[in-house]
Amino acid sequence: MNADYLPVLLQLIVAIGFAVGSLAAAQALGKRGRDSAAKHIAYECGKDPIGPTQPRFSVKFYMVAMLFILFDIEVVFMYTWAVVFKEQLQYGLTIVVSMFSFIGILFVGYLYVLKKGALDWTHVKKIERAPVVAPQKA
Amino acid sequence: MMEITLNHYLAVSAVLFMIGLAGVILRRDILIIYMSLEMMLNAANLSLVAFSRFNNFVDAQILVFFVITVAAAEVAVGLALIVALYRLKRTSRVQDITTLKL
Amino acid sequence: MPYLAPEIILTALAIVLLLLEAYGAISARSVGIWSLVGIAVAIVVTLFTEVGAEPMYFWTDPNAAEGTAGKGLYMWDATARFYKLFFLGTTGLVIWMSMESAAQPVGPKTQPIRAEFYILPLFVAAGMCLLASAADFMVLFVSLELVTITFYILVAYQRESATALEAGVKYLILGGLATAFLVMGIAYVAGFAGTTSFAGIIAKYNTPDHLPVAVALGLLMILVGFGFKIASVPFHLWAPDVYQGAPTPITAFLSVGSKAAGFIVLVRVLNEAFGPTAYATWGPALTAIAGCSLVLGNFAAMHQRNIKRMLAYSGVGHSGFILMAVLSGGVPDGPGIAQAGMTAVAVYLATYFLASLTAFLVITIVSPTPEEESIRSYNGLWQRSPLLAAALAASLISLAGIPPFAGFVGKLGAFVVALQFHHYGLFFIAAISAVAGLYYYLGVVKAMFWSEPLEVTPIQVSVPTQVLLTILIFLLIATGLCMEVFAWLVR
Repeated sequence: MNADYLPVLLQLIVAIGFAVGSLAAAQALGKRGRDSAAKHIAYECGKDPIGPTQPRFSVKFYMVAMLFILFDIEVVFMYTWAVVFKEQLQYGLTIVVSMFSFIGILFVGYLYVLKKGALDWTHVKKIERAPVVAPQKA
Repeated sequence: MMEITLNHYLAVSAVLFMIGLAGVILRRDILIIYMSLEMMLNAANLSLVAFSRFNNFVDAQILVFFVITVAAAEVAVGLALIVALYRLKRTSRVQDITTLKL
Repeated sequence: MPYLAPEIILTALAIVLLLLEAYGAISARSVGIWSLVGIAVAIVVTLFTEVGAEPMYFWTDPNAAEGTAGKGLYMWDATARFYKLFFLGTTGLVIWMSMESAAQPVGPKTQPIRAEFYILPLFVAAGMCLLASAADFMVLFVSLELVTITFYILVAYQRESATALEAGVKYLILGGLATAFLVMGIAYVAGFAGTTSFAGIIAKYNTPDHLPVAVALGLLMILVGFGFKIASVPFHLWAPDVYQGAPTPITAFLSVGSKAAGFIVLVRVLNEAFGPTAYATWGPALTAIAGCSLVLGNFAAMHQRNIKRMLAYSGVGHSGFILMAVLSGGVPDGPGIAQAGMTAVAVYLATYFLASLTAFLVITIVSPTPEEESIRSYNGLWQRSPLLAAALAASLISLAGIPPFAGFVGKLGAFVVALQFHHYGLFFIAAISAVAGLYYYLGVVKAMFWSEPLEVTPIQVSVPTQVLLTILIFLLIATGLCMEVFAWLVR
């Protein structure tokens, strides 16, 4: 019985060997440590770069991107639901209600995001904070 | 022409998993570490899909959907942490943020 | 009473509170109070849902393998009920601590506590309750991640503080690594078994043969994922930093709730999904992990100067003790884990719950800022607040395992199981570690009573918290004296 699964073990050994081997190869073949200050200056009549080389993006783009990922990924559950719901309709409305409760929860998340101003590109600073609670201790 | 079997998929998945693990351990930039983590999760996804295809095991695909969703949620929290960290320290490298000691 | 009631109550309440707070209809403090009310309702509902002699399953899979029909995703039995009550109690006390720390003056770099700080623990509680009932790897994975991802946010809650962010990033990276191992392990186990349900897997692999290599590898990878949750060596690296950087109520939540969540899934998987033959795979691995946790946790705790870090390392040690109770499988034709082992784990966790949450409640009050978390700040606590000093002393002595406090009962159970199942080496290591534990626990107790305080201002404690602390001290002693309480609880 164990012999059937021996290939998996072999593959793991190959996998570890591959990872270690490629790292070792990168270390051996790569030209690490051979760069000098001279290599970083502009070549001949090239212009010196102005300002930082990596322009900074505003944080609000990250926010929108993250929210997009979160809401976008939920669609995968709708695909599976769409595939089976017709056959499952015979079991009553459970199948419809389950998807609508799922969408309802997502919608609550959307309302929360909207109200907290995360989608408001023009007034990012308006994200509300609770007022400082007055210390009750003497 | 060689036939592609379940074991081939599992081998690719194991290689991906190990590359991801090496990335998490060796890389110093948090963003790259997150990418390596994603690679490890997707290695598992590849295994699951292969099992589902070759063993007629449909449940595995459902599990893949859950893994994808969880990975997205994890990355959203992770990116939020990086943004907050960058605002505070202007860096996303691991060695620059280590202060917690005895 | 519908069996999913606790989870539904908590989730629905959390969503409603989230909306109400976002639209400004309700203040942060009343969100906290409503959360406590919701938890109380969930506890009552759980208490009054009856438990049958046999586990009851819900959401059955019509295509299940032969012989496993009627065993589905969600399981309701005495163990599930005990751990649900455990998690609900933990969450309630954590929200209480959060409200206590909200009442304290905030430093320049700390945010005031917002409503989300009370709402997110409700989601964690719902996830943990679901974990206690998981009978399928899919449910297990989703609920475990609900808990873990919410914890990432809670740990890094003070996002203006560099230490909190550092703790959050470390927790996320190591937590993500654990998740990856868990998923890969599930993929191997479920893929080769052809089913994700525990009942289906045990039906396939509970043969006299050893586990197939790939399935054994999958089981070990799953154990890596759980080892992270319970903070056992060598998967404990996150614990000290995260415990120190997180807000104190969340540290308490991690140290009690997250650890217990790791143990319930560990015993569930070893008991329900794998039979006694799997012991040959996980037994040696867990023995090594338990031994390392005991030694490293208890000896590293001696050198800590921050009380939260000290409790983090001592928590690693406690994981070792509990693992000693888990290691009670391998009896041919017996269950995956013997009943004695299951009971010992539950009792140890119950005593740890009382002692650890009492300690963190005191720390929340005495150390509102990170600067006051050093153990020196506890010098002469007796002169500043006798009640706080007594509560902390009772909880630390209980954690050390000295009779007549509750912790003694828990340790006794773990040691008895170790002897019963012939883990003599582990027994010896645990005994030495327990003695090492005395050193650092009693060091703090000594400093509280016999050292001069750094400052002499008395600490005010609100009346409800005074009552709560008194009850906790009483419970710590009462359960230590009257062990039958635990037998009743686990029943």
